[in-house]
Amino acid sequence: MSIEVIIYSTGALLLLGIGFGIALSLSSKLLRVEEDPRIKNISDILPNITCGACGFAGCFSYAEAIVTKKEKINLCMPGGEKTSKKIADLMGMAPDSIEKKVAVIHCCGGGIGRKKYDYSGVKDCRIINMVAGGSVECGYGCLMGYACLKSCPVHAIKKNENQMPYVIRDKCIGCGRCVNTCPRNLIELVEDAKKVHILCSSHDRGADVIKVCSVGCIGCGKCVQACPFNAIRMENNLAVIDYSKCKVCGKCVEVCPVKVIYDWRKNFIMPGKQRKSEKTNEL
Amino acid sequence: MTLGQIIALFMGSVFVQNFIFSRFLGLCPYVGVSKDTPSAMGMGFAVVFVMTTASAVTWILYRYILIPFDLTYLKIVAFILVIASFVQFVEMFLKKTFPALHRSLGIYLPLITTNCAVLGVAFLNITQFESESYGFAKSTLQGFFAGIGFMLAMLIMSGIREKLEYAEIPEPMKGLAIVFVTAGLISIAFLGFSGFKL
Repeated sequence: MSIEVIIYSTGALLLLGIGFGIALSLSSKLLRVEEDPRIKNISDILPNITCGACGFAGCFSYAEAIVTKKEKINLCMPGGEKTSKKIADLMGMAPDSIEKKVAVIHCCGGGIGRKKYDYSGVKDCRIINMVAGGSVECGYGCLMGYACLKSCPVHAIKKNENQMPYVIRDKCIGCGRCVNTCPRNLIELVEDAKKVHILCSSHDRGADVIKVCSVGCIGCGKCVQACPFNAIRMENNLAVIDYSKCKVCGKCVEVCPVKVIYDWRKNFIMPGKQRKSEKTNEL
Repeated sequence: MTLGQIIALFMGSVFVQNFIFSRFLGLCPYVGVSKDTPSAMGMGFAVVFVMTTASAVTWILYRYILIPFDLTYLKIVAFILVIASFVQFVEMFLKKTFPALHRSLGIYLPLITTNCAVLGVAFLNITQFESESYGFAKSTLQGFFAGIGFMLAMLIMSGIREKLEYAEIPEPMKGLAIVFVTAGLISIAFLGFSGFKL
C-alpha cells in the first residue's frame, strides 16, 4: 500500500466534508429561525400531554401563544394553579386563578337499560349512534361505545360492573376531550367542588323512561322541592342542577325515588351497581 | 432515453421492487411515522426530496470523483456524508417553512440519515447505471420514483392505521403487533407485481 492511497482518500473526503460544511453553514444562515427562549421554557413547564383543554394544537403552540400573542396563562387545566404560577413567574405576570374542573357523564343506565337490537359492528359510539338511532332503547342514554374512554389522554375513564363508563375524579384533568367526542352530549365539565350530580339526560316522560331504564329520571320533581337553595329545576321532564346555586348539601340524593342523583362523597360506585340484583335482568 | 424506459423505471421502483414492500428497506419511519396521514405525507415528501437529490449527487460523486481516483471502497462513507448533509438541509428548511410539520416528524426527520432506503437507492444506482448512457438522468429518476414508492407505502399504511383505531383488536395484538401483521399482508399483496416483465 502506497502513501498516495492514504493521501487521496483522506484528501477526497476532506474536500467533500469541507464543501458540504460550507454549504450547510451558509444555508443555516439563510434559513435561520429566531426563537424566543421563553417559549421552550414554558413548554417544558406545561404538562406536555397535548390534551387540548387550552384550545391550542399542543403544549408547544400554547407556549408560543403565551409569549407572542400574550395569551392568558390560566388555560392549562391539567397543570392547574401550580403551572400557572410558574408561568407567571417566568413571564413577570400576575398569576390567574384556575378552578379545577372534572368531567361528569350524565347517564348511568347504558348497560342496564333495554336494548333496541344487538349491535355487532365497529365498537365506537359515534358509529353506533348512526345505526337506527343507537342500540339502546333510551334515546338519550349512553351507547357503550367508549369513544370517551379512548379519547381520554390520562385514562381517567373506566368501565364499571355494568360496562358503563365513569370518570375517576382524582385522575380527571378537565381537558374536555370526552365532552366533544360523546355523540349524545352526555358529558359535562363541572367544578370539582360540586360533587352531587343527576346521572340522567333523558327528556322522555316518566312513564316512557321507566319502560326502558330502571335508573332514569322520571321527572317526579321531588328533588326540586327538597332543594333548600332552589338549585334544581325541571327541564322537559328532566331535573337539572344549577351548579352556580348548588351548595352540595345532598338533600336531593335522599329523596330521589329512582336513585339517579349521585353523591360522589358517599359512594365511589356508580348507582347502576346496587341496582343490578334488583330489577335489571328482567328488563 | 425513451418514454418506455422511464415508465419501466417507474413501475419497477414504485410497484415491482418497492423499497418497503419488496426490498424491506427503511422500515423504521414506515412503522414510526405512519400513525396519521398528514405526518406520513410530510415524511414522504421529505424522503422524496432526500432520495432524489442524494441519487443525483451520489452518482456524480461516484462517476467523476471516486472512480477516477480509484477510491470506490470509500463509497459508503462518501454517500453517508452526502445524505447526512441533505437531511440536515431538509431539517433546516422544514423548521423555517413548516414548523408544525417539523415538530410532528420529530426524531424521525434526522433519522432519514440512517434510513437504509436512501443509501440503498444510491448503491442500486451505481451498480445498475454506472456505465450506461444517460446514467445520471436514470439514477435521478430512479431516486425520485423510489421516493414516490416510499410515500405510497406510507400513505397506504397510515390510511389503514387510522381505520385500525376503530377496529376491535384482540388484547395481545394491540399496538405494534397488528401493525406488523398489516405490513406483512400488504407486502404479500405487492408480491403480486413481481411477475411483471418490463
